Amino acid sequence: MTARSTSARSLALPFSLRRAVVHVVLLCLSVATVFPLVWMVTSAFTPNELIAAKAIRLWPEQPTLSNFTIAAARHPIWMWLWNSVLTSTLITLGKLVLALPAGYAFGRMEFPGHKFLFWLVVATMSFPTVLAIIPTYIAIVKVQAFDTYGAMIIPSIPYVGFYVFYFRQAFRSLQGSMFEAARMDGAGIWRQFWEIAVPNVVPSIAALSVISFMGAWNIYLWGQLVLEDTFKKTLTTGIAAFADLDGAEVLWGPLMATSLLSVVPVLVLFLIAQRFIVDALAPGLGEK
Amino acid sequence: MNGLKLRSLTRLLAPYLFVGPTVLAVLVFLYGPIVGSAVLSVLDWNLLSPDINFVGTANYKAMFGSADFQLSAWNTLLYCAILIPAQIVLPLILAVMIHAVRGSRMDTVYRGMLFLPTILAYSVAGVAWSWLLNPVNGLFNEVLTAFGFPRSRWHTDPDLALLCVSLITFWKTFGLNMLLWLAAIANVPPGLREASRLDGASRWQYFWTIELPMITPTAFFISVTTLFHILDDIVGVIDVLTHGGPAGRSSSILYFLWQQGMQFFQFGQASAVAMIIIVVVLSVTWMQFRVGEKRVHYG
Amino acid sequence: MVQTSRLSRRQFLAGATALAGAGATGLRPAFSADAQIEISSTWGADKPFQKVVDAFNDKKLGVTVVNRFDGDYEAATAKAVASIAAGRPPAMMITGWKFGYFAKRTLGARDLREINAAKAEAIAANFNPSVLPLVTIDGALIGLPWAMSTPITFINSTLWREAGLDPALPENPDTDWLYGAARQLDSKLKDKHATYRSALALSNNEWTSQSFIQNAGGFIIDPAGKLALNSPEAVAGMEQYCAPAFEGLWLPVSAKEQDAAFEAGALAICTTSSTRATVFPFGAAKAVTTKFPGLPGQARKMNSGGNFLAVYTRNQEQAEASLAFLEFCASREGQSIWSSVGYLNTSVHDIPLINEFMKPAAGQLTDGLTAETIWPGKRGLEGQTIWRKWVSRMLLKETPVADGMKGANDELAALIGAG
Repeated sequence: MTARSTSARSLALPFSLRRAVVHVVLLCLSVATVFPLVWMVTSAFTPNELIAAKAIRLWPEQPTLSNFTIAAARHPIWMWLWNSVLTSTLITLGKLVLALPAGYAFGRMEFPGHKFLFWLVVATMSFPTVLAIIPTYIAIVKVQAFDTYGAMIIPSIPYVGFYVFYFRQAFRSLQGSMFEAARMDGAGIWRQFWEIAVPNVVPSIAALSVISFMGAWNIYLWGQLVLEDTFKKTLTTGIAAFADLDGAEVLWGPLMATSLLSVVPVLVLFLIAQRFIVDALAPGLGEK
Repeated sequence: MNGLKLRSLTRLLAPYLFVGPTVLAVLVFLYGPIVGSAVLSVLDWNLLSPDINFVGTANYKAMFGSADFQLSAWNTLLYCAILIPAQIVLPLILAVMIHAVRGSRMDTVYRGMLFLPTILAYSVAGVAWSWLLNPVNGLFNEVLTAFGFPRSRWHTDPDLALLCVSLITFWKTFGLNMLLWLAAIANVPPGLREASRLDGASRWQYFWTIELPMITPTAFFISVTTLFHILDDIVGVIDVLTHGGPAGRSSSILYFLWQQGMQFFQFGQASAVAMIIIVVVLSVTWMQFRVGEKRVHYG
Repeated sequence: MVQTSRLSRRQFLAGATALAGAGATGLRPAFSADAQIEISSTWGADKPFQKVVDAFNDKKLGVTVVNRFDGDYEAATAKAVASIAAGRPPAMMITGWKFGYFAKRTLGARDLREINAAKAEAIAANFNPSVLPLVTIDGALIGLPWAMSTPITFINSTLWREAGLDPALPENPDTDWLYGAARQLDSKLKDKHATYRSALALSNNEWTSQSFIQNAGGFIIDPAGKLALNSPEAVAGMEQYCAPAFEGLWLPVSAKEQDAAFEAGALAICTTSSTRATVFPFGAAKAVTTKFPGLPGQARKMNSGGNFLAVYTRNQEQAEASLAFLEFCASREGQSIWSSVGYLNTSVHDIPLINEFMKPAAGQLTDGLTAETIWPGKRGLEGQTIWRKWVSRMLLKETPVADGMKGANDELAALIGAG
């Protein structure tokens, strides 16, 4: 500490005080950021009859779990939860299956058309998803895939521009000597990819999987459009069922309970993976 | 002899087998719809009617002449002018602050809390915010009046609606950029800070001369992705909060496209809008990469 | 194949979670029914419509009805377009009156008489003849006039008393009375009360604004089928409608925000759908009700909104099965179950009101109600959105009322003129 606070900054605040100021600012900002959700959390545990009576509630007056049971009795929320897990997992797997080999080839192989194909794929990073909705919707209808899991999952997979770009960077940052050695041992292209390259970018794969999973979990507009059967819905699309035509009967408590249910799994996933994500994102983004 | 040939053939083909599925997928699902939109944009068709009429540029003319289209295009520019700088600079400041307190147990807590809105569904975010902003008795107005300020109409005020959507879009999405910045800063070798300190550089000088140049690849990356992600994100927020209102004052061009296509089934006109957006998106992307390539020597 | 996998998933669900009565449609064994028909509806399994469906299924008439919630009118319509284009339309669908033309001309709602003329007449005979024109499009009877609601006035009885207002409400209120009360509420309670924040909300939607225009003697679309927003009467009606907003008595917000504010005791008066009579009087606001305000010295001509149950399937057996369900819906038994949702009784059956708070709504029905505007033409779906946009502009003083009515008239004329 003493070695650090030397000459040049005699006028500046002492190191520890500056750190304390940063802590206070960050704490305030963090609290402000989560504040809009306080109402959701307190309402989820407040008896439904009491919710509308107050605009602001920082703590549930009579804490209860009844909203969860009401929600489960009225809508198949556990099925929705399962559907969310299923579709998000499959979308994530699909993205990895596409992006890993492509990122590897773009990062570590030379071939004619390399540059053109790379930009062709990476340029799609900038495509807003709403753009493709109408033609895709028509196609889904015409191939009779309407109201299937496939209609939800497959068109969501090809948005891999970010992933290819990122994996290319990750693969490029690996040491060339590892691959030299493998080649000496007679490893083919596939083995170099699968046994040398992939195991060395596992943290990156994990980081992107979490990001993809969170994105897929919250797909809303598209899911609303192509999922019809109540039992095929995901949590985020199913939540809309609470606010149906007779607006007077909005069940705020069960709605908030289901909303909370939709947040918790991704939050847990993020909290487990967060340190990992930051560490893993770093090399992929660094210039090679 | 034969085996060798086969081997060199595989070596030749391997890269294409590796990139093939991805290229095919983006061609079919992302470039295909562009072609589809181009075709639909010169037709008058609603998916159900058996007669499909070729109408030439009529859809484009109708859209360019539509006051709602013009308003939503103008709003989109405003959204970009507000959100792009905010989405790049503010997450950077947060990342620098979090980096400054790394190692303390709290940095995980800050990251978790600041990232929370990013993992939320739009439907949930919409409900949470409409309770805060309710112009009659929402919390924001209660706080304003407690301090003696006049009440605000927030998202129902034509002049504030766009700012409210911007605020919520920012709140809902800054987390990812913050993580990307954090990752980039964490990647700057710590030795450089020590060295610059010995040279007598202040924290700010260090940031401007060492840290910032080191993270330009990330800056480039973030600038490319931010522009187009927020366009999508705005649609989600508008859909749950204002539906483009009041009187179209918070609509964006993508929301306009969504309404034309999926609410009114004007597929031709909606596709004309899509084509206009695609042209803009591709040219902006191309320019970004040109500039980016020169600056950061990418690719 | 699809059918069996769906069933097994539901059975799995039945075992996994105690779904009680809610999933009744899903849990019904397939063998009890000869025909299964699906209804795309705007109500989930927790709403009275489900009770009607369950009561019908319990009769075991060889037809099993499955109620499928598809979101609001717009969302359900988008899905219907997709499923019809995919060649498997829902057997039946609930659609708002405002989409009547779209349902007939684009979605292909079937003429009930063409399915089975005798049955169709028998079903129609259960309804008040005055509501049948609502479901008669291009000369075809395209459905059952299922739900009908009308805006009435809800008043927070506590705030009303605290402002010293007379608890005896007039039977036929007018705007002088209502706006006067709103002013008194503001002067007595504003900034002096813990929950009171705003006096009045007339609901920024197409039914209420249309009521004002009609009460002033104008039309949105006149009996000759021409747009008439430009008329002095229509402008006068809109001016009356916007007056409380200009005066600061009314803060126009969305329906959900309005409901939330009313239930929290922040809003004293709220004119909105009569379906709220099943909720507001029993919540913290202890609402009392009266009719929707007319204009002083003018004839009252109130408005209504609602939806109809139409048949879309092309399969004759499915269509006949659908008629069997419609028959039940139209019967006294079906209507009695349905009435608990707070819609008006459009049938000829004598069904008691669910509560006294529904009286003003029933009174308005007896007085005679007009229907919400069914925007004609193949682009009619957009009409409502355009009209709402202009109403918003006028309410928020973005444009003077006269200019706003002209602007709306011009834009809507172009839309309707498109064919």
